Formats: sequence, C-alpha cells, structure tokens
Amino acid sequence: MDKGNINLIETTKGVRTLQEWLDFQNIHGELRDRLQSADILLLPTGYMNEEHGFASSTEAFLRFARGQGAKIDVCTNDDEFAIVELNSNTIRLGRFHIKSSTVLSILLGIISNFCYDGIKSTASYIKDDDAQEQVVVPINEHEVEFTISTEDSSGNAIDYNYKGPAEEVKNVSEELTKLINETRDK
Amino acid sequence: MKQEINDSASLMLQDGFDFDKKLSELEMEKKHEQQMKNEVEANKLWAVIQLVEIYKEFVNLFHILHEGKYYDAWCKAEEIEISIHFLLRNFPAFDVCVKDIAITVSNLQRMYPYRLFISAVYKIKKEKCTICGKTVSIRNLCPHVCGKVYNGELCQREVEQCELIGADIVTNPEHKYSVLFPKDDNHKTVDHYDYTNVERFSKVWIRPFMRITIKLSSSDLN
Repeated sequence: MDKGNINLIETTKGVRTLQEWLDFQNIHGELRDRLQSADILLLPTGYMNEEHGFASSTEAFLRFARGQGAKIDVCTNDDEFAIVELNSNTIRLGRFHIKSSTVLSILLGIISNFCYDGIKSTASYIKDDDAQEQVVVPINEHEVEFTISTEDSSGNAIDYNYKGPAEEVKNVSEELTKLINETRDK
Repeated sequence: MKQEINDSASLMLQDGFDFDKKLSELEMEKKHEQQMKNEVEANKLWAVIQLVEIYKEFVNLFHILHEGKYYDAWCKAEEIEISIHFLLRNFPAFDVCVKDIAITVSNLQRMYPYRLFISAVYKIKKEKCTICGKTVSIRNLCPHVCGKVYNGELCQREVEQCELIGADIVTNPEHKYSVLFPKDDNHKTVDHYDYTNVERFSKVWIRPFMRITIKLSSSDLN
C-alpha cells in the first residue's frame, strides 16, 4: 500500500461508545439487545448539528448491505428515524460502528461495491472514443466520506474518518485493520 | 430488444419527428399493460417513453441554447442528465441510444462558467414510497427500491415532512441548477457570468443530432 492511502484516514477521539450511542438514541429493551448484537450498526452522523439525523444514503445502504449478507442495523427507534439531506455531490455514507476488526474488510468491500453500483450507470457511457478523453467524472474522481467507530482496549471510543476517492476505499482495508488492532491491543 | 431500441432511436433523428404524438401513443400502450398487470412490458414501455422524452428535451435544449437562454439551457441539460441516469440504471442496454446525447450534454456543461452553487440542507422526517404509498419505515422497509421501475413507474420518495436547516456554498452540487446569481440594488437577479465558451459551442452545434468533438486547454476552463 502506498503512503497516499494512509493519508485518507484520520483517527480522532470518538464521539461516543456503542453503549453511549444506544443511550443517546434512547434505545432500550429488546431492540437494544438486537442492535448490540449487529456486526455493523449505522449511527447518526451529526451533520449540521442535527445530532440524531442519519445520512441520506442510509436506506439504500441498508438494503444493499443486507443483500450482500451483512448483519447490519440502524441505531434508532423506528418512529424517530430522520435523515439529513446534504445536496452536494460527495457520497456521504455516515458513521458505522463495527463489532470487531474482522467485520471491517466486509464493510469496506460493501462500501466499495455500493459506491461502484451507484456510479456505474453514469460511468457506462463515459468514454468518448473520438475525443480520446473521459467526458463524465470517472469513478476514481467521486469523493466518498464515512466514519468507522469502535472502542480501544480501555473502552474509549475512537473514530476512523475516511475522505477520498471511491476507488481507494478497498485499498485502505489492510491499513485500517492494522490501526484498529493496534488501538485494541494497547 | 436492442434492434427495436435502435430502430426507435433512428426514427427520432429525422427532422420533424412528432415527439408528442409518439409519447401519447406510448403512454396509452403503457396504461394498457399496467392494467393487464404485465409488468415486464409496462417497464419496457417506461424505458421507451424515457428515451423519447430524452430526445425531445435534447432538441429543446438545442433551441433554448440558440435563443441565448443560457441558464435555462443549463437547467435543461441537467434534466436530460438525470433522465439518462434513471434510464440506464434500469435499462443499461439503452446506452447506445443515449451515448451521443450524454457526451454532448457533458461537453456543453463544461463550457459553462458556473463554479459556485447553493446546496440546501434538509432534515427529512417523513417520506413515503410512490409505488405503494407507505410511509418509509427503516425497520420495516417496503419492497420497492427508490430509483427502480415497477409496473411502468419509477419508484421515488415523496417527502411529507421536512425542515430546511441550512445552506452551503459548494463547488460540486447534487443539483446543478442551484447556480449563485447576485441581485442588484432593486433586488433583480443579475447574470454576471461570461458565456463566451458557451457561445462558441453553440456556433459549432448547428444541428441537434451531430457529434461535436472538443479539445479543451486548462485555460478554457478557468
């Protein structure tokens, strides 16, 4: 992996641990048990200070990930679900809590496929043979943003923030797994 | 199906093609198939209607541009781009029919001087599926995927409750029509942009369905 990929990930102090997220979202009882056992949990994004709002891609991502066999859920009570629609062309996938680092490569694979699936319908006619250039933004120029939240060995929340080309998501898997394992082993 | 698509597309390239008459005939056919619950045929007809609409709007774009209504032409180009996106998402085999249009639209967009746009931020609290009418529930999702075609209709989300929470100035908007225009002392919108490159493009674009190959230097895009 080249150094460029490492620069696409920023590690920051996490906003909340999983238990704190569940409290923050006022989730109790059977639903809380179910969400705690999910491999991947979609969390609120906090865009524009809307602390309980989710990314606009949440429904589409949930369907896509389940279609790929992922054990994924959304950290919300059904009647309180709301999305924050940011109308710029960046693909903002929001925040994911992962149960363990072993789930990471699955999640990154799903994110990569999800981005590709969304872009490919426009990418199918991008090649203008006569002009010998691409006339529509190719996949590697679509920017993606997402955060992976987890906890270190002391139980402190840590966020890994990715911001970069859609094409590079699958290439950061190894580095991100290493980072997560290092913080868990500390 | 590919041959049928090519034949329909070739007909539309002819001068004086009556798009509205064709659309009306296709809508009637689609309605019939929908009533018969023949989803495959209804979906195919949706795609052909989309194709005819794209060609019709592309001809409109040509005329609007040549009337010097540059912002209107910019908005029309975006509408065509969106229609092509949904058509190809559901029917990728139509790419051969819309490739030239997509390239011309994309080349035209690159000629525009617009660089800054408004990106509105909404909090959507309640929305429903346009196919089954059910309110979207994240725990009990209906079977309809937004952006897919069901029985000849495109599935969309109808927002029932939302709140405008802000607006950003961005360079890569989702909605290209959201161009920033200043207002004068009388609160009238002022179009201060330099459309030299768009004018140059319109001078070489003399028939709607012609290929234009352009080569741009970085200074052309500044």
